[in-house]
Amino acid sequence: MGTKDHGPDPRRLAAALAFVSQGIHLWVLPGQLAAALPPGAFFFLVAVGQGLLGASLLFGGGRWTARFGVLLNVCVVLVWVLTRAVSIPQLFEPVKLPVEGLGAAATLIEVALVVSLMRLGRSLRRQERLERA
Amino acid sequence: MKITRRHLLKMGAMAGAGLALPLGALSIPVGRLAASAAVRSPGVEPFAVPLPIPPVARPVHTRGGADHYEMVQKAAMQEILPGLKTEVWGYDGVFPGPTVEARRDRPVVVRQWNELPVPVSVHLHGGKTPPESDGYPSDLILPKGHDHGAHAHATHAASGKHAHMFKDYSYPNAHRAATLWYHDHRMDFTGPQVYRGLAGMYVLRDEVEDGLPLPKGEKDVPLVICDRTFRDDGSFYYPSLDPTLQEEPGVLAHAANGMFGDTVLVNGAPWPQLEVSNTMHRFRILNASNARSYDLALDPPPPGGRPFVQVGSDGGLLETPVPHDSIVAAPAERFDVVVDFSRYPVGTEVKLKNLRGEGKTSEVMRFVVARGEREEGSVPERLAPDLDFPDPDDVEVTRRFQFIAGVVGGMSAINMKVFDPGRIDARPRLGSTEIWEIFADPSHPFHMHLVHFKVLSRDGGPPGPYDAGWKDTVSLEGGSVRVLVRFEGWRGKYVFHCHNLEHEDMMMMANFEVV
Repeated sequence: MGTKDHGPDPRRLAAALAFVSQGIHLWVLPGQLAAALPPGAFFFLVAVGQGLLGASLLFGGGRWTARFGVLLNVCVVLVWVLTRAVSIPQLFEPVKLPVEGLGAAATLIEVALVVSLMRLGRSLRRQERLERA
Repeated sequence: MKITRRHLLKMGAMAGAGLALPLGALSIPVGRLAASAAVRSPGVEPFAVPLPIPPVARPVHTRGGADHYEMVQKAAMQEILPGLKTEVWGYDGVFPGPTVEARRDRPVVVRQWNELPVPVSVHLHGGKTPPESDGYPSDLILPKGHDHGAHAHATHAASGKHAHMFKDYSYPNAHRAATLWYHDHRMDFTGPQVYRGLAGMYVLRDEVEDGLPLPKGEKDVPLVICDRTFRDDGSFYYPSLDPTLQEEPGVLAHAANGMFGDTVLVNGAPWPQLEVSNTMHRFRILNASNARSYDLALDPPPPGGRPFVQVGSDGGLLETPVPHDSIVAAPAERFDVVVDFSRYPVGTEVKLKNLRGEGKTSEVMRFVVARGEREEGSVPERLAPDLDFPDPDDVEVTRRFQFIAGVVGGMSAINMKVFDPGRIDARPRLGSTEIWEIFADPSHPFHMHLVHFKVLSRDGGPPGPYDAGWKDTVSLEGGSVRVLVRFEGWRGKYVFHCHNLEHEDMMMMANFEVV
């Protein structure tokens, strides 16, 4: 279990970040879905993904888990940035959305999660190489 | 593969965190949406109640040639569905509110008292009024105990002029006779507040109209048509995200494109009946619905068809009458029509149908040709003098505005911008003439404050059959219209917006400032 790096166990750190992100999405999900279905469905899928990621990491997820987590969270961060930077009426709202505190906090957590998962992925790759040698 | 305790724990954790928790959270809004969409009004036998006529407001005094009225906006219980009581928010506690009868060039001042638990703003729809009396959405009358406007949208910070408990609205009435109406216009919450009853008619008359032989008196009938849904206990059902109307604006997702009720009310009564003589009657039709458009037709149609002779539009009398087989009325539009019941034998029951409706909403009311009577009215070939439309050659500026509803729900916008009280989107010069091109996706009733306009073209072709005369609201069902506007009256800041009230509340509104 775990890696030989110093500091907090990167798996547990990543799992904790995934659960926090999931918690935020679950918190806003009822309000979002009640007002508009597509963003609500998006929040639901993100919450499912983060929950699966967090649970998988807690119980020793490997490199595929890390890849899935990076992909998921890069997508989530991109959607957040995109909807705040430009207006794409065909896909999202006809306006740029406001930068609100909770959304910004969730995005920072997801960026931290991406970094943490990338470090975990590298560490796992090193470990695999060592084991093969 | 051997299933270990660790595997089981992992599977359990993944199922719990990855599925059970999100599904649990999902069940809350899904349950709310399902319950909301399932609300159906109690059954009402159609044509069982007589058509009520809203009371006429009486001035409290006349001073300096102006009639002064007082209205108290308050909650009251009213029997709308037979046998049930509905809490309405009404002007003087009635729904629709009292009709104001005004004369051209005779000013009216209405002191509006707010005894409701929420801020209000009153807009005289179609009135050419000074900006401070126009009912700008953030110019609020705060109720007792409130010290701010409580705007929920981020851009709507307390930007308006707030009055406490009452405000005097001045209407100069310096324009042609027309069927106007007044209604609530509170920022972010116009939809639910109009829905609860804050709307009434304002009939402006003048000597030109007096001189015409059109049906008068009891044969000049207001028809305020709207749709509502009721709970089993008789209360109005409106799917607000925040039913207290204090904090969060907007509606549940299923009503994002407009609140469509399942019960059609005329003058506040469900599918009423009106007994008429076999003579001409003038009906001032107002579509006071939040979002529903109607295609009104008579069933059976009279021999030879063309039962409706349109004599007026939003901005008053037409130059010449326009016959119609049916009347398509978008929210906030008014159609002044004459129906000649002598084309039916006495005893005929004639339904006013809504050809766009389904089930219960396909019927509006019923007329019964109950008796014979000598005809005293007629529709002359010439109704009003030259309407004095602006000359397109005088146009100084052409502006384009695209109305687009949120694809994923939520906010709606004009030219990709949501409403911001601090942003001016057009600065026409006082006295100038402009062409405004409006594009709508999908369908939006476009309304301008302060001014009336003439529809020049629709979808690149000639104006449609319902575009005649001076208008202040024009229906777009996709496509575009070009309107010719002369900015006259006052300098100041006014709004233009979609009159689908749910779109309006979700910020499909913008400012113009006459300079």
